[in-house]
Amino acid sequence: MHLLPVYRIRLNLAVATLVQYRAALIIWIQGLVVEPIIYMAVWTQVAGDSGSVGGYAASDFAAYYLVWMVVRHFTVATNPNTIERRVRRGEFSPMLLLPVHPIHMDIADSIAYKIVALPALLVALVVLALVFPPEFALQSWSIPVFLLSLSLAFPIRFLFGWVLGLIAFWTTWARSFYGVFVVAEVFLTGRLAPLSLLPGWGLALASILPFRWMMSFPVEVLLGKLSLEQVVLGLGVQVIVLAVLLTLLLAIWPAAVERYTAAGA
Amino acid sequence: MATVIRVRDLARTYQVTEREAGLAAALRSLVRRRTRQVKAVDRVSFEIDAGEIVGFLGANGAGKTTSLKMLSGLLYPTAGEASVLGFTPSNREAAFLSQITLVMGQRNQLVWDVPAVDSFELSRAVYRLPRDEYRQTLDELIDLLDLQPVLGVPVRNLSLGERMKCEIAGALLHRPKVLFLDEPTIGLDVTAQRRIRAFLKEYNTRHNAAILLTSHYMADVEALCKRVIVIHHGHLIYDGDLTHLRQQFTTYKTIVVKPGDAPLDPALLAAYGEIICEEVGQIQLRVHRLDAARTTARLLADFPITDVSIVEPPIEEVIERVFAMPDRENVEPEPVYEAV
Repeated sequence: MHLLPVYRIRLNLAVATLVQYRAALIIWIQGLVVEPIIYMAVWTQVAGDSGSVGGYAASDFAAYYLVWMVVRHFTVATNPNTIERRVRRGEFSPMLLLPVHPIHMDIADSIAYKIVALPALLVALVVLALVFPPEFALQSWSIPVFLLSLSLAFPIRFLFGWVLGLIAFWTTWARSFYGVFVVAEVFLTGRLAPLSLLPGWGLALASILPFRWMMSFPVEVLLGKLSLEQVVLGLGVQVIVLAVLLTLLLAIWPAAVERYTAAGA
Repeated sequence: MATVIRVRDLARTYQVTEREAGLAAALRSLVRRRTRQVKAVDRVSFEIDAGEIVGFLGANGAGKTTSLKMLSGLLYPTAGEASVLGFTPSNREAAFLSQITLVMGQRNQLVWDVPAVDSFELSRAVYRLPRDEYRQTLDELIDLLDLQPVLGVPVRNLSLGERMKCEIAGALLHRPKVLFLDEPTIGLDVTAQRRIRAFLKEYNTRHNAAILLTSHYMADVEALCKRVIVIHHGHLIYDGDLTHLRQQFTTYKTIVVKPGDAPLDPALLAAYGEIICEEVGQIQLRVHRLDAARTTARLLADFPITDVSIVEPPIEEVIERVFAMPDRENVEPEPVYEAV
């Protein structure tokens, strides 16, 4: 409970910081909107020509990417490169001197981003829904289960990024490794295309690794593409993935700090 | 006095990679990496009591900052033991971190884009300070450091001196019992340096806090520290009174001679000691410290002098000499100037 005031104040600070730079904010929001527009334009065109692709009609792709935008927005997390930079430049030092784990500050910061960019997201969703009319097949349980899976997806994506970031404590320079991670994320989270359009091995890989559970799964839930059994199983997998990542963080963190050389700071 | 810092044979070794300059050497190092073990701190031992202000001196790379980082829990020692307020720093327990602070010159702990007072609020929550206590401490810091005019200004818009004062205030809001200060006045103008020195002295007196301070400004050390620890190439080579440091590392004193109406001939004075400074109205002679009194008496007897004084060498000179030593096993003796 003692962390609640820390979160509240850090959140306020992060929001105050984000709104300081209007130009940067607009550029971030553009990034949030432009990418799904491209995917939507391409896939609705492809589906429009042939009726549907892999069971997705043009309106399904529109629905997919509108939900994907929401999921992506609410799962934005600390980039492993940020952790690498802190290790390489000794920026972890002030954070390690505080009697609270540095991860709490990062969680608060990423929540702040979601709050600040939310109005822009809502406007973008309305405009895009008018340009690319979506079609949903909602079940009675779709929305509450979607919210539940989304609330699990955020900590999964957050912890995955953080655990990967900890590699930098051993290697110092880990950007190229994170480059591979970004490419994997594009394909295996359903960003470039719905996972059902990937070959079987691609879907299997995305399901074995945390990728599906941190972005694609909540989208699949809201689109009504999964049976109730698949949804329950998916939620269970999300809980397991989250527990594994949390265990990894707790196990690796003390060793990582022991490796820290506080170079340059 | 209770001992708050205990260090026994503390050591830290870094592995550093080395290569020659140039692209070819960079490519070679990709295949064959050459590493070297560097002993940044080598079996250092000392103790510091509550309420003490100790200067931690050494040239760049001597091991001062590494020591401070080990004592504040940022770095794990390779060997030896450290205890601060009864805690092992490397365990980084919250109760330990709540009672210490490490201020590193020019290293920003405040949130850059918002006023410092907002970052102070975060510290209040992080250290779980009761509002009344926080307000009281903040008012005290505002008063001592003259922070009122800068509190509402975003940190990025502050001058270096203003920012440093805010950094120090932020680092002390939780009233730490042990302060590790690494170059707290670096880059500041003389007025700001003096203000921070006065503040640290006041904080030390009010809260009986132990302070371990590194600084390249000897004025900081002379104003604040009765005791100094000198570290050189990772070894502790001196731990004691600042005034005794002069005696241990320099064997000379300076005699300042002010002539009467008739000018003095420096050539004649050279027979009494090494002339180190000739100015209008005064000449300075360097003599062996054991001969200072005898030489002064002879000068007064032999020349028409209106005033003469014996002064210790400036601490900067002493430290410069210590830093110039190759290592502790090869300390060269100070050249001695025989009195006539």
